[in-house]
Amino acid sequence: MNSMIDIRHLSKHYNRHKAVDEVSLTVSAGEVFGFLGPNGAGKTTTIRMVAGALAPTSGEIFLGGLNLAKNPRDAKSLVGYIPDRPFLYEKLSAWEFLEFLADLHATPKKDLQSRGPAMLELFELIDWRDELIENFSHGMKQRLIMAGALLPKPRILVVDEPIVGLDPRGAKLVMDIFRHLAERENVAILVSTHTMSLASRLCDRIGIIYKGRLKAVGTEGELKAGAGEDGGLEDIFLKLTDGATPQTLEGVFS
Amino acid sequence: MSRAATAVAGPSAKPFMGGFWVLLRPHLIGLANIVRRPGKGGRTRALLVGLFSLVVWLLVFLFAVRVLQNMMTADVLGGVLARRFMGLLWIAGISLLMFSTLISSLSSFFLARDLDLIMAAPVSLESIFWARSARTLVASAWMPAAFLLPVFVAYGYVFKASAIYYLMAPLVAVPLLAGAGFLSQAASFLLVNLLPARRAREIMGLLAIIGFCLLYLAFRLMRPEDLLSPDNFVSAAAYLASLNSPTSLFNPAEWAVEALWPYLGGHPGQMSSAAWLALLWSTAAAIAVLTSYVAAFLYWPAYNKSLEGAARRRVAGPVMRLAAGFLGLMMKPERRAIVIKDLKTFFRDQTQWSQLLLLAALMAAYLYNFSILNLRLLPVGGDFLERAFALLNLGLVALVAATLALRFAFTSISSEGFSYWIIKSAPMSLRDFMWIKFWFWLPPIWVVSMALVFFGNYYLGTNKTMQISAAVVTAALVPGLCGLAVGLGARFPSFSTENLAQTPTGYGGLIYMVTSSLASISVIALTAWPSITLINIGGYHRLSASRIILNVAMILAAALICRQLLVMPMRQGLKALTEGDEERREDEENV
Repeated sequence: MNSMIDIRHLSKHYNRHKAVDEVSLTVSAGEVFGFLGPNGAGKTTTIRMVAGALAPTSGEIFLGGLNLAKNPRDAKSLVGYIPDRPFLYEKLSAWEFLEFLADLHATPKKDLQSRGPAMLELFELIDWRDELIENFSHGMKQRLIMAGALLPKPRILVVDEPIVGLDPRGAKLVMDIFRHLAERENVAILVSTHTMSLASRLCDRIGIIYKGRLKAVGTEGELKAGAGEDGGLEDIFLKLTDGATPQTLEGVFS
Repeated sequence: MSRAATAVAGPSAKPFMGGFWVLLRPHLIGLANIVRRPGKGGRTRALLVGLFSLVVWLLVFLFAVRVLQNMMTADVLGGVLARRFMGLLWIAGISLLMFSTLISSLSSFFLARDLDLIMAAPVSLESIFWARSARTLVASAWMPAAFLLPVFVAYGYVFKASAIYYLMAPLVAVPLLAGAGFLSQAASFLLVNLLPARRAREIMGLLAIIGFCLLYLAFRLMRPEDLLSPDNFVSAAAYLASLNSPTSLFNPAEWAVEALWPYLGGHPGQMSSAAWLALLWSTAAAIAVLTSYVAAFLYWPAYNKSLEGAARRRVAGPVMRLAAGFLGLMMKPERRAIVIKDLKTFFRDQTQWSQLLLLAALMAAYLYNFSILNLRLLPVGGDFLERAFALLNLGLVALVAATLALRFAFTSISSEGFSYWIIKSAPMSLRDFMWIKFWFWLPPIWVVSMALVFFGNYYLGTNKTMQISAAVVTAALVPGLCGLAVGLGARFPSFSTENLAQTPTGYGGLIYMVTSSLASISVIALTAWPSITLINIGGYHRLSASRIILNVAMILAAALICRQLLVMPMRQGLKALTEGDEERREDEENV
């Protein structure tokens, strides 16, 4: 399969702390790859490096065959990035923000005029198109970021915790959109999450990261087989990430 | 605080003083950690900032001593003037404090990020009020107190005061400043009940700036420097005589003067110094108690109102759309995107554009000063003074350009705030991003500087050669100052700041002011010599070859400084932005 994201021996060190340690993985066109891990495991750091928002200490990232470090401009033009926290320019309106992103990604004006309103409609923001972002709720900002990320028709989507701050309707919409993009538009999607149901329903393959290292990669079935677990994804996750068991809880609270 | 209000605010599980200290603890520990673990380069920074503060204090002290000594040369009126001046100082101090407390109260009581956590905690509203109040008071009062300190020491020095004066001054300052601060806090609770907190802060910020501009212009137009000349005291005497009415019993600034003046050798007023001091302390305590009652009734409803958010505001932008269309014809899309975004966010943020009013007032006062300065009327030294003032004008213009670049170009990188991730992940180079910021701010700063140098020289009636030389130096120096600002702004960004106007007061701003001052002085000194030589001898054809070479070398050295001022910081800034992820990540994590 055509590999759109190719991460090779990626590491990020903060002084002596290894936030990400020798992570390698690939995501093909049309595939949704789920990045699972507990808090502080290195998911966001990896995602930010793939999006080009953070420089790695070592290792290489290829996006659509382009080396991100050597050809950042062209490589980044393939990517739509959705961070976990919706920090936006508060003094712009929703439409102005889309205009800004369209210019930033050199999206033709006619594409903005046709896709922009459709995106706002899709994310239920059309009534708010001329409102300043400072008046938006957390969920609305998150939806606006998604609309902006999808506007330039990215070939790769890099998403950090996509359903945090969204209501169940919004969360379902996002999952439907991601599946549609992967299956119909052949978009490669790298998504980090610690929501098991999301990973289970959305992802073709899953990677479990813990303390900066990739502990296991495969389909849900492959992970179950590898871990020797009969339970769900949550049990595999807890086993691979040394999660607290009822026995540990007993020890702490008794 | 009333039981009813506490009940509305939620249960109070902890006793008041316990809650108070618990709420203050994170800030105290944070401060202690900064001192104990200063981080990389922290000690050097602290040392530099300390030295700089000491120099500023020394300069303020020397200036105050000079002003007071000048006043005292007039036998009878000197004392009266000095006493009046002290009253004005207190009024200026408490006015400044009241405005800054009002604005910081709006942030601290209603907009701070940790309020969600605090309000949900099992502590009484009373504890929250007193803890926030103490923090706001200290944060707002330290600046006026720091500036008043050297002036009051100067009073002690000039009047040869005893040690008791130095003990009394802080005892007088604390209740006066605290009382003013409490009043402002009460006003903030009333204000937020009328307006949304964010809107109130913006409006108050704007009013503060307009008020300051009007006061400043009025002060300049009164030409207070004339009072420093004893010859003018005859006319001043009539003015003072009209003011020499009994001191107002309702003006706490006068109470402060009455409490201190006997220790500077003056006669006690209607009451003893101790009585005035007791009046100050009891009034401050009464205001504090009253404010706590106002808080009991108004803080909780006001806080809830502040959470309702601003009313929906539609954005109309025909002018912006026109500008966008025009820029679209001239620029690549990604550059246009940043420029249009910066234009919109600047003009929609009152805390940003309102500072242009301040700039306009300063420019008007600056040019007015030169327009009233007629050097031709002087019997001797006209030529020398003309050149000296032309150079002074050039120096002051460089200072204005540096200040503007510091306020706007330096903060332009930090202005991206937490949205900086959009730039980092966008398909554009950080080099392009930095140069866009440079070209965004260079034209306005350049035009203002050129206008100031031109009109300054016009009013001074400076020689043509000096005028051309000053214009060329300004034209070359300003891009350097702007590049230095953007470069250092990228080297020392502050993406997590809540108030962009505070960014220049940090370490990066200090480095900028020191570097820009040294560079400006060097460039002006290097170019002044060739210009003056040219005027003195009436043309370069009369110079020897060696002198011509020396002059050309000086001009080239000045040009090299201007070039390096632009290129080097931009390179270093780009490197820091590219590599500076660790600090930024920590910033974001902390938030």
